[in-house]
Amino acid sequence: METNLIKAFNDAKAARPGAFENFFDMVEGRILRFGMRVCGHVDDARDTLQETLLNTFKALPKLEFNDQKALSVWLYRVARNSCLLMRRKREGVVDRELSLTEFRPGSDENGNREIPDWSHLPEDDAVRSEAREIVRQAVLELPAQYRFVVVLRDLEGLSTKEVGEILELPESTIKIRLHRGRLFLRKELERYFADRGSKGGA
Amino acid sequence: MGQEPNCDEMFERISEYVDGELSPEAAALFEAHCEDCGPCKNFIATFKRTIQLAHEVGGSPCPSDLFSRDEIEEFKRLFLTECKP
Repeated sequence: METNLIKAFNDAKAARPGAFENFFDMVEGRILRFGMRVCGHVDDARDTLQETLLNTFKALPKLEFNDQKALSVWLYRVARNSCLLMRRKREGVVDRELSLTEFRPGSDENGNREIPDWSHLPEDDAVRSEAREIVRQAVLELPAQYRFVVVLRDLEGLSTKEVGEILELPESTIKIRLHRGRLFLRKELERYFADRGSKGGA
Repeated sequence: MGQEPNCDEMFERISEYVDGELSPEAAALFEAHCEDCGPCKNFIATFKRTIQLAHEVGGSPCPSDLFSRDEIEEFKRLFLTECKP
């Protein structure tokens, strides 16, 4: 499978046999994978995805990209806009601000701060797999402005700079949203491990 | 950060620390604080673990064959039309 995005793009433009289909797979795959991480499902997103892809393939031939990264950033932007479009069509979606206060560890009545350390829990595959699922679900529960940042930075593995380019936001904003998003995820995991502990599992 | 941070300051800057964005001096002060503060030490360990798990989150299985052969041909036709000078 062709993994070089720019080469696939250029081959498709040159109308080499099978090249468009290969490029299509890569583009659709990226947008879908991002969409799944951000939206959780694409059952009701087919029309939006089709609209997105039509616009994408219409616009692409006219664009010049310096390198693979530039094309990749452009595609992420397309994927993000597609997700936003899907959300707008879904009613009743309300986003909220996350404040640091809600995650700041509190003290008990004696002023003691106890923070359980579940970072060393048994490396049992089943527990680890469950914990990953908790994180995946928690990402989907994040308010959108934090979710995009966490997905791009921690799930897709992009740098702060790249995330800033994709979301067209300053790096300082990316860092703030990333930090709060991560605190949210951590809190969900803490709850999960506390529940496991109280049920006698570890 | 010229002196050891307090717990609140630690809390606010953990992401920067974990991402290696603090200066070596600031990072060293962070670590010095953790040596004496169990809660902060545990908070950072669990914070790092959270990010590690996030890195490991795969995608949910993506549906394949969302578009028919005819629909893909339509995308192709549109693309190649736009490719013409």
